[in-house]
Amino acid sequence: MRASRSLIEWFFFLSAALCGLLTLALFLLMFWFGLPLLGEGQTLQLFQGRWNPSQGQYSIYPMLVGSLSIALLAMLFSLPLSLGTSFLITTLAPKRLAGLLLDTIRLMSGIPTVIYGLVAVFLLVPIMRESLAKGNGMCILTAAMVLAILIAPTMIIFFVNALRSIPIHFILAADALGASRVDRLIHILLPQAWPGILTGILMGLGRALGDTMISLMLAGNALAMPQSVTDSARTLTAHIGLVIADDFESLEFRSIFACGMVLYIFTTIGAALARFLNQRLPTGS
Amino acid sequence: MKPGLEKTLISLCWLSGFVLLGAVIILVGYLAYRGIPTLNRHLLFGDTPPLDAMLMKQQVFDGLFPAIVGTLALLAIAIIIAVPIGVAAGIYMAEYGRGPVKKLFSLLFDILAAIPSIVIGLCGLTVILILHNRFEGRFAPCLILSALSLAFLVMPYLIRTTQMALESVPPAIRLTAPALGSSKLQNILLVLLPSCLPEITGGIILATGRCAEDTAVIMLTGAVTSAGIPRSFLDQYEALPFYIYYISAQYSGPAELASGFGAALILLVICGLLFTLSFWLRRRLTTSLLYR
Amino acid sequence: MTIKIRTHNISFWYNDHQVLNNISIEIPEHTITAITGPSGNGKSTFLTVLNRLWEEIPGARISGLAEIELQGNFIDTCDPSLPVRQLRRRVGMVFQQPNPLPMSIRKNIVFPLTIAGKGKQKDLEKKIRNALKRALLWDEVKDRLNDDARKLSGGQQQRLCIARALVLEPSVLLLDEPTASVDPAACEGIEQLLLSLKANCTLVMVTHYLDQVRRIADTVLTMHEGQLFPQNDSAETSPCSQTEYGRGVTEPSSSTQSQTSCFPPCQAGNQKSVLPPQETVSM
Repeated sequence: MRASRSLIEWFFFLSAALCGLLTLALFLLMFWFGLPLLGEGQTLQLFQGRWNPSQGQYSIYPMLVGSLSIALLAMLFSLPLSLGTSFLITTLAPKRLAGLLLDTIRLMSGIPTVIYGLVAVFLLVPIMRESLAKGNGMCILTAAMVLAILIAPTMIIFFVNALRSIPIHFILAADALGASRVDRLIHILLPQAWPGILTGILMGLGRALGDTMISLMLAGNALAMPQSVTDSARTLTAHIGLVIADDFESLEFRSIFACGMVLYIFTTIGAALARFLNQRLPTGS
Repeated sequence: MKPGLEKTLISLCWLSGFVLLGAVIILVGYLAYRGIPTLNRHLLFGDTPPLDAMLMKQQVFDGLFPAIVGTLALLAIAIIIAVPIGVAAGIYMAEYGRGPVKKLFSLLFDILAAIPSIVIGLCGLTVILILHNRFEGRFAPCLILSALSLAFLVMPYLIRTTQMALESVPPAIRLTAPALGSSKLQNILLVLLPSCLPEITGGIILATGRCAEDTAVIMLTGAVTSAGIPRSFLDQYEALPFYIYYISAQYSGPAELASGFGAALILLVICGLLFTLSFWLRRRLTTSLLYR
Repeated sequence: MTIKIRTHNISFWYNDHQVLNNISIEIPEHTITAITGPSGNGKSTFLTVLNRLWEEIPGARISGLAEIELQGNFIDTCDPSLPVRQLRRRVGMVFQQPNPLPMSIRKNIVFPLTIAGKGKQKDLEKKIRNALKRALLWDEVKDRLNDDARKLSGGQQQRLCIARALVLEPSVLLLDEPTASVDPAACEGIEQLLLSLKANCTLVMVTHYLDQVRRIADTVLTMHEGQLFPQNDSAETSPCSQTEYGRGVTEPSSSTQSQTSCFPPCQAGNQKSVLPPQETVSM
């Protein structure tokens, strides 16, 4: 029924198609380059043992542990901070202060990551070095602390949106029954807003896993498997940034594609989960 | 809930707010403290006279000028590439996409938005390696590669912003032109797009800010520590974020360190300005902007 | 009395919810036909059938036939030989909320001509003047045609929208509660305007102001449970006359002829527009 599409309308479609195809191409590219590794029966080796190219060991397992521990620790620090701040903004603080706080948080999300890293290297790392009395101050803990501050604005904005989208009549009903502000938060807002909050957590986790500069600058980048949070560690992202191989055929180089694939898979799962949450679970059920 | 517990919870919330605010203040404060003293002509141009440097008569060796030029060039090229494609794709998603095709695209764009920037940098590097091997070393990481990779990085933001802006046009405006006999395309170009111009422009500026601050992508695709001003698309180049990273890892003396802080301050100001501009645009949907 | 529009078994569904049920009516030429009924029961939806604007609404679906008389012949509105854009230029529409485009008054009037590819005609100024004169707006805006259209008052904006719809000289004009968003003083002006348009146009007007219907309508149709009933039916047999609403129309008015009040009999502010029910969308 539609008349023939004009050139401009084709351009719209082709742009969308180009972006979609490139997304797929990205994955295929990594797969292609990482394939020889997997093909030679070394898939398992990738995830066991140590990284020691001179001995032919290309396990990215220590990096995986590094990534997960920094991200999860950062989330552990950041979640209460973000939840608390978003409660503050939506309910506890007076309107003007809340608005100011939200604007500041928004502005925070515009601060370049590398600047967080720079200031932390010269401010936080010496402090950590002193208080931990071991290592040079660059460890999982340091990186996690700064990462927590980095991902907080993202999560806060999600949380605030979720909390603010609760229909007002629920809140009025609770208030009319004599609920305090904290009661309102615990019994009405949180249960109703939890899909949005969960999405925010996923977004924050995705950002934490995908960040390169903080861990590159602050986590120490040691190749050994970290044994505690005060150990130096290397993340998948930092590993990609650090391996500068000359031989593009080498297994060493190909292993960073394995890192890339692992990251891609993680973030894809996260994105799919977030979509599922947004679509299937209605706010207010 | 017990009043004691309640009070504790409330105090913790206030504490969180202060911790975050405190962190930002310390960050910006420290940066200002160490960066402001460095702001002078030498920071930017080293020993080269500024006019000569800006007219590209002489190279700047000790200053940030090449890095600033590199960053700006990167921004410009990346945005020029990303905006037409991103906005067009967003228009497609909002106005033409239907059913399973739209869902598929939507999923792909969400995935794209979630991909870590270092992975995009890695793929950019891979592409150039393939070309390098195929074409006997004529290709290497360079300005245009970084710009393309950055464009790819920010594309999903642009698509999403355009899509959401168009989808939130009130139905009353959406039906005005068709009721007068316009085609779908006329409606989009003459009424719908102009009505969401502030939001879309705000999104573009936000994307620009994202390109300015990114380090992971450019690290792998062409940024180096001393390359001077790029003279062609296929040159290597310097960029502010990369310089800052490099300094933090290997500075050779207090002077270099100071320049690192100066660079950080300049970058912060650039990003802050872009961010504020985008924010202001989205908030103040000034009717005079739309009036034609 | 020649018939201008006729429909045959028009049914309308919005997302599996049936809104219109087998409507078959005839609308005579050069008259004002008013469609009345309680809010939100499909009156505005029926209008969108006549200019195929329903196609722009996601989830909408119709069955049946709508025909319009053009140059002596009845033609199906969905006939391939009549492109939908052409149809909409012959069947104009005015919405409940005035919706001037963010442009000057002049550009608003010229807009339909521009999109029809006729924006550079030689007698453009004359067309603008004629349209504004027909809409009884010329005297008020002739000195400020380049002003932003949104600076006009509500009543002026609505007359501007009528002028804009008239510039292509449609033979039918559909009006969805044209005075609902306009203050009572301005509404009298619009009613006079509608009466003056009868000579060259067939008007179909949705309204829930029964006194407005009494003042200006030649034919009255009442929407009840998705069907349209002419008001010539005797009071006892027409189902809607059993309701409060129906009785309000058929009983003779006890007030004087020249009423200027535009206040609706009961519901105030309960205006449903052409558009489907809005659900809150969570992002």
